[in-house]
Amino acid sequence: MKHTAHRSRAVLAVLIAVLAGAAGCGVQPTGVIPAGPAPAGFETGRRDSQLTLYFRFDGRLSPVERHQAAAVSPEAAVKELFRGPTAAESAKGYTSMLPYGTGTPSVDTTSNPVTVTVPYPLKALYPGGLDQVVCTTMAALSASGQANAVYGVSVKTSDARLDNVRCGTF
Amino acid sequence: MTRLRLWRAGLRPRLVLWFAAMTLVGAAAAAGASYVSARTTILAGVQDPAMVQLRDQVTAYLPQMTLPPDQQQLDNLAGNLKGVTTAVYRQMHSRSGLATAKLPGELRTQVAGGDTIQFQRVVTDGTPELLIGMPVLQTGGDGRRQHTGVEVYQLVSLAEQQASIEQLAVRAWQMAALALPIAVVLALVAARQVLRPVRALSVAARKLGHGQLDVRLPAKGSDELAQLVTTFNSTAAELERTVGSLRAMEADARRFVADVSHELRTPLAAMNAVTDVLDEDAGQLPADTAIAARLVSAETHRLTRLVQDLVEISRFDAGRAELRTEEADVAEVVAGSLAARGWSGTDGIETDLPPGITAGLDARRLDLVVANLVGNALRHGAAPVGIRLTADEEAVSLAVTDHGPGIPEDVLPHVFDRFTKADTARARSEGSGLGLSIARENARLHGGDIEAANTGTGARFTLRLPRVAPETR
Repeated sequence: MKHTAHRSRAVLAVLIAVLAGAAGCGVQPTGVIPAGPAPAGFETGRRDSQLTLYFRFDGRLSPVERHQAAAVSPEAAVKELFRGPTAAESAKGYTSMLPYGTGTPSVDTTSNPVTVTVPYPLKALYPGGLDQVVCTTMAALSASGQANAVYGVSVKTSDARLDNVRCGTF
Repeated sequence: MTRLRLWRAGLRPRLVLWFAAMTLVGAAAAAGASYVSARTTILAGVQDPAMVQLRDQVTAYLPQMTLPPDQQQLDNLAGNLKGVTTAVYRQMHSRSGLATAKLPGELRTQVAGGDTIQFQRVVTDGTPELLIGMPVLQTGGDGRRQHTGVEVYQLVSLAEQQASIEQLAVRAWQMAALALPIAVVLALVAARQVLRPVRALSVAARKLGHGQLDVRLPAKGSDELAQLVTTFNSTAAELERTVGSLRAMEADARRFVADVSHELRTPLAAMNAVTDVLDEDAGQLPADTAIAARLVSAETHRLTRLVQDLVEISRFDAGRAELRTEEADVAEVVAGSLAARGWSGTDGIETDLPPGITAGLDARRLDLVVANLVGNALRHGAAPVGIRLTADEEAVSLAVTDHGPGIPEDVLPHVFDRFTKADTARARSEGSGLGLSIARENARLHGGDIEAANTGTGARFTLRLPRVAPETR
């Protein structure tokens, strides 16, 4: 009889433990947990000579950085963008959605907002290529120290004009 | 009620309970383990992509920014990121999106002080939320990474995940609930498997206890229960063999006594004839010789009675005693028996024999019993001796009560055994020592019995006979 009582108590304890375990259901709050490296981008000391071009990587807009001797100018950056990724960048998986051709884009930094003129119809740019152009221009303006007062850029294609286009990097 | 208690005390409910408990524990353990791993997978499936996506978005946007950022830059950064986000630089923060007041202080401290992504789960109003915080780093000229002071935070609601996790738990309980009745059925089947042979053994053991020594059980299989059955069978066989040989020995012994008694009758008859002559001539013999002759005569009579009793009881033992029943008035038979022995009120006999009580009985055997009981009462007990006849629907009872010293308690259980002497000092009593045995055999032959008891003022022997005697055996 005594043994039975002991056993019953043991069974009860197991059941309670099971129920208690089941009660810890749902999503529990946690403390602060570190996870992986943070984003890094700025390189101090050579900001004005760091050229950032936006290409497509795995379908997403992704910046590629190149170092050059000369200071970055927005027009040179856009011209470089239209030449497409280098062989090394292509090998890594970067692609461009911009058309290849003879037309030369230009950037007028004196207007407000800054105007990018592209000698192609809007259909050839929209939507992937337009992002590349706008983001590259914005990054070049930022690198050359002209970006602070700027909110977006205007894009002038052969058949249309878009004002205050912002870099949507997603 | 009693059946329920028996059922509850039995093996079956314990087996069922244990099976149910085992099922519950097993199901809970399995469900718990899969629940925990599924929960981890579900949460990781949301948390990890959210952090990677936010980092990629921030990385992609960074070239647009200048240091130190102004309010417009922070707004642009936050506006460029998907979801509920905010960008913070020192005292400034983006004007739309996630309110910085919602961010826990510890997360702010860790993000501001470290160089890795941090996340924390919080529960707000019962809804779990994931908070991701990451510092924006810059790479110095020497390749070392430093905090820029810019921090990005994002809030991801985990309500959907919580719903699916809760559904998992519900499913787990439902599965356990489904498994439980199956376990109970299995337990009942198992209990049946175990209990059927146990019940058969119980029945067989009871039969064995009631003297049915040839009971055996079929031993199926080779499990512990089958071994038990085999052991039971061999035990029963051994018991049957032992009891059989004991019975054979006893039968031999009784046959020997019967034979001896029978052989003694003829010489005793001759001796009785001689002692009768001696008794008649004793008056003419010298005094010493006369005493000797009377002694021989008395002992010869005693021996004759003993041999007669032995022959009688041998008949009972051999099953050759015959019952010749006829419907008779019991009071008449008893009164006749008393009269034949010459016992009356002057001897201290007090009778209470209501007439009209009839029973099917062997009058000769009843006479023997009455004579023995009353004779014993007069000889060993003391007057007055009460003889009281009563009857009910099924049986008649004849109680013979004396007012003597009673029967010693240690002798009482053996008073009907052969050659039991109530008084050890009186080693040579007038009786053969077989009277009560024969009386009881006679009662049993009728299907009745005799019981002995002390009343406190003497001994009482109660003869009980059924009103309808069994057929002659």
